[in-house]
Amino acid sequence: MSAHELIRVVAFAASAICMGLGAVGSAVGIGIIGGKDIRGSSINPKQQGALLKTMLIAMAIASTTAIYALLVALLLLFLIGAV
Amino acid sequence: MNDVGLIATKTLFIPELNFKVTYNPQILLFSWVVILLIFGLGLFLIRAVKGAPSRRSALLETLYGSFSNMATEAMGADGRKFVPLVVTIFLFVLISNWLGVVPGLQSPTKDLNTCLALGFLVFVVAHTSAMRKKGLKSYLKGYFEPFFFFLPINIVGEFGKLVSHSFRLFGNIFAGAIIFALSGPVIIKTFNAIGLPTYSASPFILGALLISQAFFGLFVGTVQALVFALLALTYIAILREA
Repeated sequence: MSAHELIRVVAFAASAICMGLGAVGSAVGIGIIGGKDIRGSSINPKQQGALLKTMLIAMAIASTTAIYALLVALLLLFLIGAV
Repeated sequence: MNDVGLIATKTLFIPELNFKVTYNPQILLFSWVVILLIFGLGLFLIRAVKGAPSRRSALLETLYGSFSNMATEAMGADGRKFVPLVVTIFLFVLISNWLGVVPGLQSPTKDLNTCLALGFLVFVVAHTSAMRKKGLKSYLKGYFEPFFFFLPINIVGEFGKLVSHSFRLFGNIFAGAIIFALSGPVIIKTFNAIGLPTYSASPFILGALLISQAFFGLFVGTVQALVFALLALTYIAILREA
């Protein structure tokens, strides 16, 4: 295996690891937010519409770190992996 | 991103100006399809508002009224001037995401350039409106909050908002497109590997395509369009009010 191929293999593996491990934190966070929202709307069903809006924004902010991981994974895949 | 085989780009080179631009003709075409669809929808719905109340006028008033309520909650009566922008962004992203469900058509939001353009639009609108409302001095002072050495963190945070806002939409739609393109070949290879003929995989391929289109196209597309519009409103409100 030449050095060029080795770099490509490592870049592909690194992008997979980056996306997989980077998604763990926001997956846990989104799960907690969804669970709390269900709890809140079952305690107070009249507030369901307002809670849904807040939940969507909170989920979007919790998924920001996973999006940074996706950015790094795409850079590895298409800049280093495609050389 | 030609490796994926999903995106075909063309390059336009103007030698007199030494200017080179790479673009995707399909995405440009389908963006104009979306714009014409929204224009037609507006012409179709606006006639109903003038007459007696009907189903069509109720649809338009619900759409506009819910975003108007959110803007008023976040920014007071001042927020109503941002409602047309936010509703337009919502409709553009929603119809773009739903366009990919129709076979043969593609979502314009599958391309990062469309999403970055939308994110940059919100970025510029948020910062200019904050500058005009608070004045340049107190706008710049916001970067030194809570202490003066927070300046680099605040600047990186503003660009992080722009990047995460556009990459969130792009990542969701692009992932859906990749899974849609990969589901057929993966099922055929799995069936061949366990010794079954290719034609016996066809009902499973049809089911996988239908489920992935329904989930990634319709459900994720709707949620992401709502999230994109709500975040646009929130970013404008945070910069104006903070």
